Amino acid sequence: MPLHAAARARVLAAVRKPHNWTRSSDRIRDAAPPAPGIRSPSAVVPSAGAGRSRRPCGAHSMDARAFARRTRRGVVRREVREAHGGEATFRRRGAPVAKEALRDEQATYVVPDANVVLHQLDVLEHRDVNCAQLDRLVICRTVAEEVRARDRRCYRRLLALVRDPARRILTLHHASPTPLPRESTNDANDRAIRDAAALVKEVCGDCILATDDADNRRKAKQAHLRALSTLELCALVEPSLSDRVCRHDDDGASSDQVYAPHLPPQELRKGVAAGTFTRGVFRATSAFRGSVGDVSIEGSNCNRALDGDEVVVERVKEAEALNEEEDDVRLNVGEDLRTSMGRVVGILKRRPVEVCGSFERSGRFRPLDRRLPRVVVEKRVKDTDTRVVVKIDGWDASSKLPRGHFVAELGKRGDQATETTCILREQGVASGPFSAGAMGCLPSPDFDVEADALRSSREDLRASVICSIDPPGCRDIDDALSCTFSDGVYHVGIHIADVTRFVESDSALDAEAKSRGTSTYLVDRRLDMLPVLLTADLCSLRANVDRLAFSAFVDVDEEGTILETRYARTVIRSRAALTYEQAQRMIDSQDDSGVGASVRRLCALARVLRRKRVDAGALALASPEVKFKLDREDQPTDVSSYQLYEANKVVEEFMLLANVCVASTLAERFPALALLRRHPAPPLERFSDFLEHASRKGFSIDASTSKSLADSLDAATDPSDPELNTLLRIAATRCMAPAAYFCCRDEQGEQRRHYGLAAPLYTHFTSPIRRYADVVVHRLLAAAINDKPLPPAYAARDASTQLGRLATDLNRLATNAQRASRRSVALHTLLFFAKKPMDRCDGRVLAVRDGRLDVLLPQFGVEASIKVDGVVKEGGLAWDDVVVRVFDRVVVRVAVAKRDEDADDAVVLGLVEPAPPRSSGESVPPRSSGEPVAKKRRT
Amino acid sequence: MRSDGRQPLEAREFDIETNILVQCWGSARCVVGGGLGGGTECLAAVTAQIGEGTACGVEVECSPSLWAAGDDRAKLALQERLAREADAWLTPWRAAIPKIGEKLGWHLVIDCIILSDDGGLREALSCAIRAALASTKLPAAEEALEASDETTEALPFSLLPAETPPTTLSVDECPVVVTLAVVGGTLLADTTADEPADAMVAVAVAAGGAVVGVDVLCGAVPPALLREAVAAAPALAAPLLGASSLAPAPR
Repeated sequence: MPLHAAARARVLAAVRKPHNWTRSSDRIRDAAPPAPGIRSPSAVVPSAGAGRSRRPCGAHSMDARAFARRTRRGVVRREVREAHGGEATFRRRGAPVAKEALRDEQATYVVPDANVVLHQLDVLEHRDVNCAQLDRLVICRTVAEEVRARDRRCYRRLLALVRDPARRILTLHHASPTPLPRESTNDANDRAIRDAAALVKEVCGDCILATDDADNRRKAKQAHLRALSTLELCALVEPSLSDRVCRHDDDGASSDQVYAPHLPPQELRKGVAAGTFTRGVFRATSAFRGSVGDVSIEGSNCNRALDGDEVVVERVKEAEALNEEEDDVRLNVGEDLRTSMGRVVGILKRRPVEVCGSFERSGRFRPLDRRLPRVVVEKRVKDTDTRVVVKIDGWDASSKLPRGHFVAELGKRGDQATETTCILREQGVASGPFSAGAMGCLPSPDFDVEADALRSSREDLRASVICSIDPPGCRDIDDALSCTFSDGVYHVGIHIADVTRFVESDSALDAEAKSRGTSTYLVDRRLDMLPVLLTADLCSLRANVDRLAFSAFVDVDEEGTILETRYARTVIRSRAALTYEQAQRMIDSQDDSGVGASVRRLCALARVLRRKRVDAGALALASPEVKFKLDREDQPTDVSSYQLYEANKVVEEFMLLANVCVASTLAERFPALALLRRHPAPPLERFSDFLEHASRKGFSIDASTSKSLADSLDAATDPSDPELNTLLRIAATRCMAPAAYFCCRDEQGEQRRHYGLAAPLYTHFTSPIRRYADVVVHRLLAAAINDKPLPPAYAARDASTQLGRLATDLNRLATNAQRASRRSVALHTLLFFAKKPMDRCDGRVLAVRDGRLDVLLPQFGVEASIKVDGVVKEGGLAWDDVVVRVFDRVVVRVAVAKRDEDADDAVVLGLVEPAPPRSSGESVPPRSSGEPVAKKRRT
Repeated sequence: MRSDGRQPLEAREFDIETNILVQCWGSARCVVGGGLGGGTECLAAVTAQIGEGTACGVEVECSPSLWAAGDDRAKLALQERLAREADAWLTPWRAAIPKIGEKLGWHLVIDCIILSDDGGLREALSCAIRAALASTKLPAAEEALEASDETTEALPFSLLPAETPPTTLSVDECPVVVTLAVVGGTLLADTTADEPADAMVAVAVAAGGAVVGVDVLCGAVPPALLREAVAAAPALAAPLLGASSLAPAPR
């Protein structure tokens, strides 16, 4: 039974406590009083007949006090609102406050209604704005309950607000409203809040009821209460707060409609059921262009959908969807016309959007994210040189653009720190300190590793020759290797930091690590998944100290066949923490010290393993990687591509080996629970453009299987152009979907394969310090070897479902972290070129599209596009008598376009060789503005 | 004549009370016996979830106060056994679990607690379950085209307003169980914990006196006595069936 465990626990708790049900008002009224000497609770003695049944009075499941509540996962709870009789009481952070004390306080309290809390929480919180008057709020129980029922996220914020010791917020516990005859629940709630305000006025002498409902205000004024809308309230207490008010425009309804109205939910449902409509998530490519699945949508057909919204679309005929000028553009570019066009007919769910950006001269807010349209924001002072956060509140059919309200100011535009904050905020990367609860789970810094290892009877490997190989300056060392050789068999030990010894399942620390999902690496800083005590000290397998490890022992023969695998929890002492460069020197030398010999053995075996893997069809993929040198102020002074040694490949090879071994162990032992990683085989048609470009360069690439792709990529070399092979690999990599975590139960057979590594099963085991997936895998593996039982959460009935969700979450967090680090690289690239513009720089063309060349600067790993007036012809961009094709060499000039009010700094490339057409500009268009025009309205 | 003065095929008095737990959609308590012996008392509570298809599971827990510490294994074994038996009793009834739209339906869990045991455990347990199901009023729900998040998919259904009449369950197919003990070649109905028994047989009887299952709980029962037990069961079950199948109270 997949009933949610928490729901059951609640019921069982209710059942276990006898008073809970004997007290219940549903208990029958005429129950016989317990006869003396009879054991309670079996006190009911039948008075007549062999048996009878009684029904309690008033015990309907849907009476006024009981109601149903659902959770996302489908649990339907019966909740009973306790009738709160007697006098209303005030509390402050849980402690009762006497009315006399409030009378003496002589202060004006503000009583917000539920809608004010739900929509204007930014005002009530008034972060970084000093406003003593709004620190005095009274939150009625009715309000809190309504907020809780309507928006959990908002409710959590409200709770945090109420508990904030810096404020003087009261909660009012008062009688639940009972609707009068012919009065709706809403009206009853409003009345209860007005009564509460009257009570506050009586107790404190003064009170302001904050409500955005004009009717409610009118009724309050009849009752001689002071009632203000949020805007009026802000004007009264702190005018600067009025910037943060979320505005509902009702007055625009009568004016001209820019967009077709959205259809009512029933029609959407019918349409989807009948197949005339399609539902899906709208993915925008620019402000007014995007797609839902394979249906592309443009201009006013987007009908107010924002990126990430769940929408319902209707397919439309080509002619209907395009106007003439757009037609021309499409024919020119020769864009793929096979995809069908559509228009949005309804929005099912808006993604909550808080966006970073800045104000334009025109006063509109321009999000950094180019996929979002400009936003209409009311603010008195709009400084165009500040980064601000804006929340998008809604989009009326009468308005060309969505409206939002100001949330926070982040700092000066173009400033490194400000822009980094923007990146973290937009990608939802947690950058704050760890919670006190999480820090409380940490062991003391002088944790005695040896004593702990003895207590838990770990295998003692401190005498073995073990070393770690990492980039220079690496502090979170999560893997170390050892290797001995005897009788033709390599005995490899892959030792991974034993993070789960310190991170107990379901502890506050575990919860925090889970919500972070992964460490995020930015150019100028690292955001850890775990507190630094663990990442840099207790878990880090540093040299010459005892450390706890989870080891995989793999015996491999000289042909690379795995003979045996074994796992154990161990205690190790690494002999040396080598850098790749140091390890490479050991590989190249004949040094016969313990570590040197071990590294050379590892290297020899890695070559065998690699050949074996490549023979099986593993791909050597590539993506441009950049490394910045930073000065003391974290300003980039130099940029270079990442240098790779053979030693890098050695470490990689053994990590793959450990991961593959662990994956097959887990899949066998926990077929429903194992957390694995898959890489879907890309459909062949995804390669078609790439294959065509490669063939124009004279290479025939066969992408039918990973093996044929790997072989043909290996063969595609040009002695006069060594860079070209890497370029081909980069382009091939971009044809593939990213790898993803999944729960073993959710995919079967071939779907579980890792295409790029040509492994039937793969997982992540080797970096538990910086990836949460590895932490989960460690726990499962510990249970698989009977070292430690499965944590309760993994043994629950719906564990597989939970794990599937966790996998989805981890995928999302990993993508966000990756995007954040890419954007950080882009930011630093910009800072670098702002200081050092270049007149001549070699570049390679990566893609050709609508009058643009996408160029990679291999020296820097930087990518940007150049606008060139040309026509797409024969797989290249042609102008005058030149044709530039994909993978061609070009020479460009690099500079940074300075920001003004309406545009941000941007790296701009200008074509030097071949000479651009005379009419061609050189800048990258800052953004395409495809705002629809009112006259082109369609219904 | 038995120690408490009953005839061989005379059952003890019993009492059923419904809707005793406010946090559940349906609940019942059944006491068999009572009086000085304390009787046998069971509690059943119905919690619900909406998911794909329909389902119903039973969980049985013995009150910790009755099974002293140290006797954990016996308690666990009994819990498991009763849960398995109760699960089997409900098999024919499962078809009556309401669906919601095409794909979705109710997933019910019946949580049972045995508060005291003085014989007739299966009578008390089956009556409590049947009465709890009969008293269940699930909130009305309908399949909905609802927004679902990308990350954690919410199930597409919506609960209808409180004014909508609730969904009730038919318990016709849900049986009550009567147990008969074989003592020296005769059958005794509804034995107490003090009465000795050579063998025990449980007979499940659904609405209308239809015998839907026979289970020899312990010992060996001669075929003739087994036939006799099956013949006697409908009469014994009739009052239990009547008392535990009351239609929900009118609103």
